[in-house]
Amino acid sequence: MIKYVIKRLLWMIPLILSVTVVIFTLMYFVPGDPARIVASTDADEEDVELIREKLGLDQPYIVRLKDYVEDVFFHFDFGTSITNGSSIQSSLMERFPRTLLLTVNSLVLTILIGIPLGIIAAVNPNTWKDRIAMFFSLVAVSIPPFWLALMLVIVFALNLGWLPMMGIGSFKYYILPTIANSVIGIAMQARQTRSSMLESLNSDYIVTCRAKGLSRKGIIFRHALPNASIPIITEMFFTLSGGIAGSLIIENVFSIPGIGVYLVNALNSRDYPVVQGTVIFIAIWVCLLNLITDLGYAFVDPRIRAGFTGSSKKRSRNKKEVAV
Amino acid sequence: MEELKRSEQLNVKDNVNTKVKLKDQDAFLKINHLVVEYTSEGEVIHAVNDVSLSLRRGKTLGLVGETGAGKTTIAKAVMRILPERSSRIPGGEIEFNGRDILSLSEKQMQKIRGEQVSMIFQDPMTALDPVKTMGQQIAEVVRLHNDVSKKEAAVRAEEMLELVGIPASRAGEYPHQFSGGMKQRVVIAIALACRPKLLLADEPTTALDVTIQAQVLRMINDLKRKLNTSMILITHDLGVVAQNCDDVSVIYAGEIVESGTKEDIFDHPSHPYTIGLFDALPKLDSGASRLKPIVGLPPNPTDLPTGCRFHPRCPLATEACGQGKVPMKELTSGHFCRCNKRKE
Repeated sequence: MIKYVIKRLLWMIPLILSVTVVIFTLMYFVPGDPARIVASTDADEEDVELIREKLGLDQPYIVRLKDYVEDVFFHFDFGTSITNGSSIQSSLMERFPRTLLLTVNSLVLTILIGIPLGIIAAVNPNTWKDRIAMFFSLVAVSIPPFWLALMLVIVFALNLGWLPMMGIGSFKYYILPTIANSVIGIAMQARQTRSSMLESLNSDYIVTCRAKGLSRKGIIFRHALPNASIPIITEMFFTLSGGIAGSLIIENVFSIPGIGVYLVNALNSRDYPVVQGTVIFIAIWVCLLNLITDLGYAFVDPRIRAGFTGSSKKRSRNKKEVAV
Repeated sequence: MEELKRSEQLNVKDNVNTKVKLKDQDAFLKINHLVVEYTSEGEVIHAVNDVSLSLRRGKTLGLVGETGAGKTTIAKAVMRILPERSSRIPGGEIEFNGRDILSLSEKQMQKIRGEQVSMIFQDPMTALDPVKTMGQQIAEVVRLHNDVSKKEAAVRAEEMLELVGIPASRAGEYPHQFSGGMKQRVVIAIALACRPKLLLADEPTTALDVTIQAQVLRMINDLKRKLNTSMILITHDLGVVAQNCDDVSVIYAGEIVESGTKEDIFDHPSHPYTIGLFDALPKLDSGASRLKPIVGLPPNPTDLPTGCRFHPRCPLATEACGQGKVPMKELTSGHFCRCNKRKE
């Protein structure tokens, strides 16, 4: 198992490398001159040229790419922002926990609401409980999060004044953003849980469980749910990895200084080192989540576990043969 | 007119009752006039129509019939594990060990299932939970019905594995690590873990290789004798019936068409369907190069033929066979047959 994790971690290197090359190339071709943005509006051509030289923008594409990859992979240095000169790493480290908190909150909500809703719908198929749960999730999937966010602000912050409208601070500040960010996830999780629970509840082994004399509860939680958990884990992965994408919108609506706001601002001001750094950072995050998800699959399903350990066993046996 | 009808009904009932009395003094499972229906997309599927059976303690009853004849449905009805939403039992009684199964609450049924009545399923490949170890799956049923600690249950599970011929060291393995025959042994171990009084074996060897079939059947019989269990053996294999059963009921389109002791059925098959089943067996000594199948297909259970259900396929059928319900007739003591062409 440890071997598998190490192997997967090593695989991340070429993956991140290609993400780096792609994002660098894209930013290279994006129209607009960063040097001119850095320079004040009344700067003349000479000043701009100076800035260009200082930022290394006068170098050819391949040299700049080499320098950038070297910085990122050997010095773990994403460079500095060209708009305010601050270190990108430290900005990311400062901002990421807020985005993470928002995402994890959303995950908790999807687990606490989405999964039970799905289970209730699945154990009472085609009854009013199922219909209500599925109607709710259909509505929830169809609501654009930014609109929901604005409505929540209008109702709970402006009209009722119960919760703060924007910014960060105590726990209260995260309630509205979390709700706005998680509604789609909850609905998707409910649907996913329902369909995979229905499938496992219709399996033959459930009849065996009934024949053993297990109670309904025992059947649902001890047998049907563990067997339905792979799509549920996949959906959790989507909540966590999609949380970043969602945060682009939600953080901007609620002015939460997280990764999303950072990226959007950088895009607007053509702060290309920040865009590159943030995208690479997100890529690493998604890769790690992917690994955790795969380990989660192995944890719940012995057949997948056997695939991991089995392959490494075989390999070590082959190696021994070679050595002999 | 009405009175006449009522008295007729009474007569029929009396008739049946005396028959039941004659035969099952010590019957320990009695099924009377059981009817089971499934509903599927608005259509009613008549799976079991007025089936009566009885089983004596320690004996084996063979339930023989084609696919879809309702054999499994009868077994599931006895355990009350029919699909909750799509099935219905509009009539009949199931009496097990003096208790009326159909009137028990779900809670009471949970106590009976697995402990007093248990079932061996047809397809061992899918009957086990793929994410639980074999040991856990056996221990689960032990813990459900016995007040034992987790450890004791695990020990019992290992004993059961040994009993069905699997080394106890494999208790920590998962279903995907076992072959089909081994899985069936585990299914049997689960079924017998609480020493049930009644075992419902639903085609326990159909999914297995021929080489394993005999082994598994021998094992079931040994264990059955050891634990003094009664058994209903559901099969479409007359060879299996010959080796294992005391009594036989032949079922066609959800109806019992012939029942009796094994000797009655094998030596004097009377219903044309039973005779057809025997004719469809390959015989080594007759020299015939082709089997003699029963013509046609089993009827559509949503639209059963009137009269004798078998008449459209029956070589002896006359026009009269298509009209009116055909009653069971007792040919010799204990040997019943549902055919107008047979004289009592």
